[in-house]
Amino acid sequence: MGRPGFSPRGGGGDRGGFRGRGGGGFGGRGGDRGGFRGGRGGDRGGFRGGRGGFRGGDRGGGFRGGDRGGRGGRGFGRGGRGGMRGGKKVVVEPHRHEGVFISRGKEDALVTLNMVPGESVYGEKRISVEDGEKKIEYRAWNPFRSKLAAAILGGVDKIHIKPGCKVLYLGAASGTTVSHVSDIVGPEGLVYAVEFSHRSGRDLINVAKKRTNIIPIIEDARHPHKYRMLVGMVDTVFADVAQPDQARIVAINAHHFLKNGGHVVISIKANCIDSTAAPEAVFAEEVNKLKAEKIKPQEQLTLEPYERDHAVVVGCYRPPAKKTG
Amino acid sequence: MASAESRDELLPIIFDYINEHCKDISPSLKKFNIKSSPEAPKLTDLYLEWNKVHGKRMLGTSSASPAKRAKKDNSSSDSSSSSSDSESDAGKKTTPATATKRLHQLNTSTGNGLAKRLKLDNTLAGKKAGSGTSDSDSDSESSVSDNKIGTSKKQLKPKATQNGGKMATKQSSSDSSSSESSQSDAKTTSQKKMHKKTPSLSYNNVPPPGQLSTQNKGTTKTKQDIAKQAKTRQDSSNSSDTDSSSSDDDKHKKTLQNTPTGNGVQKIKAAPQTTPAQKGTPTAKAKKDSSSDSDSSSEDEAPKKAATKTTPAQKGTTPTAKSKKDSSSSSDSSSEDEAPKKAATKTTPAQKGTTPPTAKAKEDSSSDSDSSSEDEAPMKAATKTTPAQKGTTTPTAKSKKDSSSSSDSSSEDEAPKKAATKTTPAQKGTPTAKAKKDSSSDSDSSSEDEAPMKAATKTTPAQKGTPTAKAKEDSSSDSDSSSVDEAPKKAATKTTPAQKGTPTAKAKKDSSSDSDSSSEDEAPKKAATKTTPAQKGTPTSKAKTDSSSDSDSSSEDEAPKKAATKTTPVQKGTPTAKAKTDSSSDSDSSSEDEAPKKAATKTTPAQKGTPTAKSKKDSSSSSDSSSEDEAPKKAATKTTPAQKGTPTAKAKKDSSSDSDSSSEDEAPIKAAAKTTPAQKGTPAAKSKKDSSSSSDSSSEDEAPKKAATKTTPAQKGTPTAKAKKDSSSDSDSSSEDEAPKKAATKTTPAQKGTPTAKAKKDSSSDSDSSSEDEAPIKAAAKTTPAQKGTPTAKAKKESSSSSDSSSEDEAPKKAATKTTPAQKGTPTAKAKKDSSSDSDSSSEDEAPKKAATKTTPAQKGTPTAKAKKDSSSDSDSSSEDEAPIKAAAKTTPAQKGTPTAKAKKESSSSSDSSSEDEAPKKAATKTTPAQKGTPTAKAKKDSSSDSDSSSEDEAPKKAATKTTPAQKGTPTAKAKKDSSSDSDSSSEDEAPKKAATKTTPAQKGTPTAKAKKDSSSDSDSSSEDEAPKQEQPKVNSGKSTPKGTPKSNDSSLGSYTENGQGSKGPLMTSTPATKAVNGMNGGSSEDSGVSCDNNKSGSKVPKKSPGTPFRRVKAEAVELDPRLKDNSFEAKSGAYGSWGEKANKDLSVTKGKSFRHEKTKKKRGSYRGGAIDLSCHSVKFDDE
Repeated sequence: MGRPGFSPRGGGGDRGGFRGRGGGGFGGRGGDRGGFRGGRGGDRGGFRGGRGGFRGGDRGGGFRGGDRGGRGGRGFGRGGRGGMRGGKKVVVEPHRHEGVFISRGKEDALVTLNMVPGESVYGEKRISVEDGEKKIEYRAWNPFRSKLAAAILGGVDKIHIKPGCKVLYLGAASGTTVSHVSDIVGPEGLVYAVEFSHRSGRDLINVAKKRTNIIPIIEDARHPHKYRMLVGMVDTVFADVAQPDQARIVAINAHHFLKNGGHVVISIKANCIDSTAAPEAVFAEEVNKLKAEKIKPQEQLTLEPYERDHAVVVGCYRPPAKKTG
Repeated sequence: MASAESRDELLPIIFDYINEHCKDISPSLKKFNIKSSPEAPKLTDLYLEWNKVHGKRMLGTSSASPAKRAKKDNSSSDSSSSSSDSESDAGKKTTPATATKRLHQLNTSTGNGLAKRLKLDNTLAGKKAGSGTSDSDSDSESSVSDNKIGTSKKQLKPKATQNGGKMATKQSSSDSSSSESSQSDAKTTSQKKMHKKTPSLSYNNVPPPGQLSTQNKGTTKTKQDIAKQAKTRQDSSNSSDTDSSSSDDDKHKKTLQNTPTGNGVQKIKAAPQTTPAQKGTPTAKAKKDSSSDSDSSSEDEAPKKAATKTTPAQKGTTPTAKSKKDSSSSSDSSSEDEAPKKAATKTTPAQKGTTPPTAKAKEDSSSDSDSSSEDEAPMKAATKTTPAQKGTTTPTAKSKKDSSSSSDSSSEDEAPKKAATKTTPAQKGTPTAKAKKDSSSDSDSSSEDEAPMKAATKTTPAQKGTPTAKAKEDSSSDSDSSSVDEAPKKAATKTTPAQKGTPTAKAKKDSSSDSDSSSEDEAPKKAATKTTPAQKGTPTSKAKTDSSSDSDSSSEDEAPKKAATKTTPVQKGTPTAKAKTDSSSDSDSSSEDEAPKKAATKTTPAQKGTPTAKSKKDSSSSSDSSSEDEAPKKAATKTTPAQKGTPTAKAKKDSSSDSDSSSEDEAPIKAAAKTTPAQKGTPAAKSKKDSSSSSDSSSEDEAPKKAATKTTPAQKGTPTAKAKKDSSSDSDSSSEDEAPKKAATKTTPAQKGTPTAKAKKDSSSDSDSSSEDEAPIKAAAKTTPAQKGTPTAKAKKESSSSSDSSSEDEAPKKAATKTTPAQKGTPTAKAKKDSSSDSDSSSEDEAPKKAATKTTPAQKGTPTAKAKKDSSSDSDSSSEDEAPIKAAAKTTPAQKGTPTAKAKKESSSSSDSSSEDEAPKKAATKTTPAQKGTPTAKAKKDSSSDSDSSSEDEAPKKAATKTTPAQKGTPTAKAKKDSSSDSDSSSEDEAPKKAATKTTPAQKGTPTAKAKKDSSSDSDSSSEDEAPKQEQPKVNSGKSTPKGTPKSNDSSLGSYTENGQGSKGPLMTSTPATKAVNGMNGGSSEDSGVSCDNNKSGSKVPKKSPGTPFRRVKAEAVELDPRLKDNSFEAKSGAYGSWGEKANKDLSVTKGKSFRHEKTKKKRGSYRGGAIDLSCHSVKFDDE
């Protein structure tokens, strides 16, 4: 029901425990902001209460109430039915990309099957659907927070990430998108999440704790030899490193770990390459670089309006001659 | 009769005034009233009585009150005068009947105050008039009046007094008769009457007031005021009169006469004294000139006035100015001689002396029709120089004005005079404007003069900027007809300070001598003026001038103004701005401008240091372009700007070398180096040099090529080789040029081997292209070590190239083109060598060579050579060129060196000249940074764009610019200007720009140039030039337009532009060969030069690094899939109605913090986008 969505929230303590970010829950801005509070429920409640007070409501006794208040503020369904779900009206249907789903309801949303039911990774909304006895939970995938989601929503032809797939994820950051990739590949797949920042790597590790198909690697993606022993051959390399030399980084990793005919999905932030040049020119330049690295570009897609001056390029690494022919 | 009525009217009015203004005046008012009633005897009696009774009071009160009244009156008069120039005249005329009565009354009343009042009034009137005039004369008159006022508060006093006496009487009596004779009669009559009534002075004063009062409608508040007004009116009227007609001149004469007669103000007297003597000569000269022009008398007056005016402000300078004026007036032949003499005697020692010779040379060259104007120009230059020396360019401006006035007619003369008198400091700017006006007046008449004057006035506020503006105006005026003369004059004036200026003036004269001679002259003058400012430390002014010149090329008047405006901003930055202006001017005036610039720069360089150097470069470049421009159509306008630019160019040249403007530039440079004394002697030497230079020039051209290949040091030797080639024959020169071009295109730095190859290629038909190539090569050579040496080499190359190209072009096409070449570098040399068409090219080449090799000495020789060339060029070029086409006109511009190139181009097409100018500018800009490669690139571009002159010019400019970074920036600006100015060139330039940005860089530039050459049409070349310019500007703007960085940028830009041009050029014409060349070039010297795209795509940085910002991605170099050209959401398929449409609506309008805020809100999950579609909207890359 709607409730179940919240019930896990009760366990929010856990989430909060390992992830400051999670505290907020989707309900909450509070949650987001609450990153500092260390994820104790009490804390959250207090915070919420305060907030409620601000709104003139005294209602914030329970955290749930708080949640509702938050939602109310948003003008969304007050009745406790929360968020995306809109009650049972929600219908989840698979996306053309395997492993990705769309929740059709009052408002459509991109969702992935939650590999760890009852838990939100970064405070995203969860939508649970009862299929007979089974209770299936989906996690909303916000394109404004994930470039992969933005690419999917933008209409990328293929993401080359599907269940059972092994993905090398460069630039995993806190694991927000990695968690969804993890959902997509499912238990059979693997996600090698490479992140160089220890701070975000901490969150990534926390995500990996809950998701066994994520292998966090806190290393510099420029030096794949440092984690070569951890990573096997992969089917797809997803890169969101936002580095001026990201083409080279991707190419090096592809040379190390990407199978022939594997695919590369690269998110390019034009400003990271050359903030003075036209984004289009930057993208073209990056595409040319990829070509030089035996990565054959297949498609390009802008990430507008979810990201500014971003583009996603999908390429094929060392495509078989037959295919090319 | 009227007296009673006037009394009735006057009494209440006067009372009112008294009551209002001053209690002190009340007694005077009473007197006035009394006086008014009995006009003659009664008034006098009353005055006497009043004086007896209230004599002391009257004096005291009257003095004070008069002043107030005068102020009021002045204001009123100002308004009247402000309304229009004619107003003052009309006022005078109209007033007479009524005014005479009132005047009489006033006179009587003033009789008491008399001298004191008069003095006060005069002073007040002068001040007031200044304001009033300025108000009244929005146009040229206002400027003139301002100038007069400013300069002459002292003068004004004397004048006022004088005016008050003679003028007032004359006017009052003569109001009916506007003509001078009538005035004189009136004066005599009125004086007689007045004398009867009261002291002459008072009477004199009265009359003007009467006029004023009449104008004011019975507001005869104070005689003094009236007198003041009359004075002011006179001044204004003088200024305005000049514009209007001879009547104005008469007035001026009167004023002048009055001043001397004056009343005795020592200062005034001194001025008058000088003036009178000068006047005598000037008048004679003016007469001579007048014969040529319309109003001889007016001219004479103008010179006189100028002398008087100038004298006060500029004691030392004034004489020179006078001499200049005189010379200008005499302009034709005798006048010229006189002018030089006077200048020498009067003006400052060495410089003046030098200037005169130049002027003479000019005169000789110009002897034909425009000779007078040319002579004037030199004279002015001399005068100007003196002021400049003093620290004020005003003298030069005056001289310019004078020259212009002399050439044209009375109106012009008056303008100069006024300018001189009005404001010494501002005068500098104004003088140039006047000169411009004069030039314009020459051709058109009053209207033109006015325009210049206005320009002058405008410019005056920001003296530095103003001078340039004036120069621009001059240039514009040049365009009309006389413009050429004006330009030289200006250049002379400007140059005079820095001897260089004079040479340029000479060059201009030479060029102008034929048809265009006038315009050319103006250009030099401007250059001179410009140089002075630069010397002063106001590079900006030069830049402005240059810019103006640029504008000139397109539409002479408009262009100059624009350039001025444009340049001014840059100027603020000072050095860079100057450089820019120079560049622009260079483009326009090309050869002429360059010469002056060089002179200026030479002198200045030491002073300013980098700025001057920049200016020199610019000037050189500008000179090149100017010559070209002048030669074609707008030579006059262009030349003027170029002149302005030339000073800077000179400076640049000095620093870098004469390279740019080949013969012309070199000449100026030499002059500068030699300085005044040498210059004087130099003329002969110059002539010798020229002869030799012609041979030398050829060698020089070769040298540049070599230098390009080798780099700077070898340049000398190489130039000579070039010169030799050139000397051998035009075809040869062309071949030589081609060789350089090739070298440039292939590899800027080490182009030794390449140049020859190019020469071979080019040798056939594309003389222009070949020359261009040489220029680049030279630039390259220059860039490396000794910038100076290199610039010269470049200049030589350019000159040679220009000459070559011209000769080649001319030979094949028409004599006209040929003449131009001769004009450029060494007209004489050209004439000698080519006698036919070849002579021009050879002369040019020689000039550059000399400059390059010797620099200073050679330069000196070069100027003379230029002068000779000009003179000779006129005859020679005319013979050669003229026979075919318009060689003379073209030659004149080319005289300086670049001008010839321009002339050639012009002959082929007007557009070409402009392009050439632009090219030089670019070169200048490029040169500045130490980017050897870039300079070469520029040179290449130049060569490519203008094939003949432009390329050459640019190369020199670049070299010059190289020396100083700031200059670089400016050059680019100039280049832009040039491009803008030249309509034809603009189109081409634009193309180049695009190419530069998008297409590959340096290589293209040279090839394009070649292609252009191949295309044969001048327009093409011009367009090419413009392109480079534009590129430069763009780059500058984008990266670091301003000073330090800008320079580098500019340099880089310049190279880019060149490259762009080159690229375009190849595309344009012979693509394959050109392309190959381009490839060579791009690889070799100027990768940066190419378009941005090229830079980005290829090696992002070689040249860019210095000035250009770091870029990982060269937008131009990237080929964009049309489907991927727009990364926006709207451009994506299926955007409408998609889930993200609302987000796009929210986010696309925000930026920065608000964007972050909006996106954060959406990250929270509150976003509702509606339905999600599953379709594919990505752009697929086609599988291969």
